[in-house]
Amino acid sequence: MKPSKKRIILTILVFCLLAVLGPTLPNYYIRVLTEIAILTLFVQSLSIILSYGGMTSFGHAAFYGFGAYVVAILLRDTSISLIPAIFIGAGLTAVFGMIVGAVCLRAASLYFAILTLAISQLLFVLVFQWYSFTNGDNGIHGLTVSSWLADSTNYYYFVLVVVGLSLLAIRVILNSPFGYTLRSIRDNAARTVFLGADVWLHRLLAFTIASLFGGLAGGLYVGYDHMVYPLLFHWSKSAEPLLMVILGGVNSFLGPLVGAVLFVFMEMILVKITTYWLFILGLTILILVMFFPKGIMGFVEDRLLPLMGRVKDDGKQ
Amino acid sequence: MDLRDVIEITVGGLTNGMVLFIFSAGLTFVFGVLHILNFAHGALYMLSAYIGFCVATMLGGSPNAFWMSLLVAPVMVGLIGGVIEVFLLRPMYKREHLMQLLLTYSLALMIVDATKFIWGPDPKMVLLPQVLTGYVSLMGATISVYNLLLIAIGFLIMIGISLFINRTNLGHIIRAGAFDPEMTESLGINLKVIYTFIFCLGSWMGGLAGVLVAPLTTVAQGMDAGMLLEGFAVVVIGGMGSIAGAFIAATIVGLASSFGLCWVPGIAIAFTFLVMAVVLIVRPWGLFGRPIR
Repeated sequence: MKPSKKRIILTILVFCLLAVLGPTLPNYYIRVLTEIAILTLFVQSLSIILSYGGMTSFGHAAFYGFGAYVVAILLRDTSISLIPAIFIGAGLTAVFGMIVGAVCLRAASLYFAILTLAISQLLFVLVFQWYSFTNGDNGIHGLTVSSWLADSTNYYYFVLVVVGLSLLAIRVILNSPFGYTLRSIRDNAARTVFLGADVWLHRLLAFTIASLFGGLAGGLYVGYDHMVYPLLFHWSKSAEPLLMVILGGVNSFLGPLVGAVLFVFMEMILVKITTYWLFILGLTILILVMFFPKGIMGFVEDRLLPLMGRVKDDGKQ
Repeated sequence: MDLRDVIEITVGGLTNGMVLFIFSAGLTFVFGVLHILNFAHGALYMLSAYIGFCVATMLGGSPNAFWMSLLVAPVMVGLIGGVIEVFLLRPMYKREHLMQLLLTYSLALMIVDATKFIWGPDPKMVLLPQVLTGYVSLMGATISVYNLLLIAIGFLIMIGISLFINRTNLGHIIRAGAFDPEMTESLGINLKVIYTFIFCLGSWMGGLAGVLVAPLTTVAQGMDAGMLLEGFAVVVIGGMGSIAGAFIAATIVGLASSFGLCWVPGIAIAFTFLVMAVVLIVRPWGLFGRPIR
């Protein structure tokens, strides 16, 4: 099922729009858009294993934090500049993800969820306590980047390009034979085995790819906020991409983007009202899980699109 | 390191192990019957500790208020668990597991912030009544009376739950409900009420662990996550749904942490996790569990 020409043109238009908007908006909004873009990548990486792979991970923040910390430490301790650091970070996170996946994927789905949670908490404690290396609770601050990248607008373009290419890559991967086998595994693993596919290998590859892009997102974050802290590994941080996936809709490729946009706006508005952010996060997940399990995009596709005479497209009919 | 140290570390490990067991028993109980892994269990444990602190404060901060907390807090948490089960979990039983997990996960987030809202972010201290603050001497080692009490309570709970499950009618019904819900319902048993009861009981146990541990450590946000993960480790190692497994696993984890902290402080935390990972790879259904799909 190839994306229709209309969609491709629409996507390119949107990107052009975002690019053109850049210089015209005040700094604050550019930063918001940057954050949305980074989060979209982060959530999309989780979506690979959650929505398309059917694997529930409660510890995805581990890769985000890992990528971020690698970049931060490289910036602090070496003369490597931001852009190479980000890609090194992504690469190292992928290796890390492969190892983690090799260990965790041996376990059945529920135990897999527990293990991923345990790993991210383990990293949290490790980073927290390894004061000499990671600066513990204080995190690493005051990271300097080249002056060209320090400018919000320039960085915005950089992030836009990286995220755009990443999303394209992910889209290609998910629509490839590998991607379809992955979805087949999600829907019925036993049957897929009979079809001759190596389930474990597919899952491991998906997991590694997800960790790569998760780490990439984490690295991009460092360029955005110029700091890292242990909470990036915390289990509550893993709740954010989960929320965004559910918000946006589990069955849609654009779901993560929608989820990220809604999430950032929610955060923007609510942080001014209350400091009890975890409560709001939990409450939102609760409401979504109970009443909108398919998320906003799912709701749109189920209720609104039929009204417009369209049918949903994602491979899960 | 001499015999004195060994005894003290062992007692410390057993104490932690028993608290961990009581906590994990609630978790594994709920999972065994309802097939739901309650991510909010740690939050309820923490909530109970806070309620215990609250009770103590309301009674003027007297150390004897501890007995009151012991009575009141777990029951309150048990009731809260019941409310959660009836209003939030029941509509979700037919949904896929991910949604149920996410539900309890979201509850955990909400409860954690709720405690921050009600009691603030500062750690709280809970005092022990006079009678429990003493020490005894055993072969040269000094052991706190409270530690011994906790160990005793752990054993009591273990025996009590086992007797309840194996020797009472209600226990048999519960086991039947866990084994074959449809058949049990066709026998005319109201499984909904049973489920609520189990969830209350499990939450009560988590709450009991919270109140018991409060005098040993500080009561603060964050105690939920550590305990929950250790609880997961115990339930995984011991086998989901198995009380005996939880008992043995908790004892092992408690002792291992205790000795680990003494010999290799940095890695001690990772150790529990490593054992869990190994068990998951080698024997995924734990020591006493049955293979699940």
